[in-house]
Amino acid sequence: MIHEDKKALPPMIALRFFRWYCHPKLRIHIEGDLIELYKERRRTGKVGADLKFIADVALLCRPGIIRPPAPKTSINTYGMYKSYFKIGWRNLIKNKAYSVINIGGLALGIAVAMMIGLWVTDELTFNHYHENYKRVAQVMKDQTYEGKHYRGNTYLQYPLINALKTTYGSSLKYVVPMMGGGETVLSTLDKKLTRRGTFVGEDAPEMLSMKMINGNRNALKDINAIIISKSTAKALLGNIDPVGQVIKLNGTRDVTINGVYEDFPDNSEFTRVD
Amino acid sequence: MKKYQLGEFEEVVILTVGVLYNEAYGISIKKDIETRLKRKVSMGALHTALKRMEDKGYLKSHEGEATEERAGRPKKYFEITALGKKAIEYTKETREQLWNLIPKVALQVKIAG
Repeated sequence: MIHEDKKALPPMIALRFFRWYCHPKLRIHIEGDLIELYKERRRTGKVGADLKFIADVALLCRPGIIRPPAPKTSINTYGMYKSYFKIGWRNLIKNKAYSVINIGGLALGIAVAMMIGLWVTDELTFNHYHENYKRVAQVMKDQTYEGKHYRGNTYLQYPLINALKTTYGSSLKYVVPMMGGGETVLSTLDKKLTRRGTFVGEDAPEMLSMKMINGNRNALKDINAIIISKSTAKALLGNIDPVGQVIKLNGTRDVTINGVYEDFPDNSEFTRVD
Repeated sequence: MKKYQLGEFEEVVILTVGVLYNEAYGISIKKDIETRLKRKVSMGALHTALKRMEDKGYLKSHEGEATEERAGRPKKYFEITALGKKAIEYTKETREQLWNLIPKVALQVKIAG
């Protein structure tokens, strides 16, 4: 910037007043015009030039020149995003075929990914319903019979229970036998129902951390006691309190319902037991 | 609907910008109007008109050199845009149409009066 000679400048009060009210975008150019004019008039006398300068400043004070009351600054990005969405939408409308392929493909992809996600979650939480799922194991047989190798047979000899208890008893909290059952007819005096079930050792509710709705986890201490799931209880007895009710298994054996447990979720080893 | 809105003073200013061509900035426009048309032009009126026409799109401006007599403030040069050209052509045409519509008698009477 060129050095400003104080003497050559117009009355500072008027100039400052002008700077204060003028629109910032116009300020420097009009100021230049004013100063140029002032210097020219100055040659014919200072007082006259000063007065004319003040008059000019006063006449410039009008709506087009005065700056807006608040500085015009945008404080949000609303307008930008509005424009983005508008342009995006117009492009979609313009290229309809590609839009359909694009959006359809994306939707299909997302749907498949979600399905896979659900499946993986289901698999990863398998048996998590049972609190100690990490420490519960099923005993299987591994054998070679007539030159062929078999593995995974879960039908084991009964004395194995005692063998496990005596040999490994210190490291095993519960040893629970499970046997047969399968589809069984449960009948009351007026109702018959087929449900899948299994005979289990008395510690099963504890080991599998079954959530008892009626009764407790000791419900199987009695040899003739059974426990049934909530859905079975509802189907068989309706709203009657099931505990203490005597029902028949396969029409022959009388058993007493001693407890009701919450149904197992679908991703449990025991979901086949109703 | 008013297609092109151009006030009387605005018209004078935009035409002068055209006359001065590459040399049109505040002071030069002011002086040109004052000498050619013999009328006083205040800085306020001039800059208001220039700004209004720039906002309307009739004029565009660019920054010029900063000279010593301006104490380092740059000049703002104006030129007429295509839209501005249309606007002055439109005003000229409408004036001419009106002129052509005045019956000769009317003017003769005026002169006689």
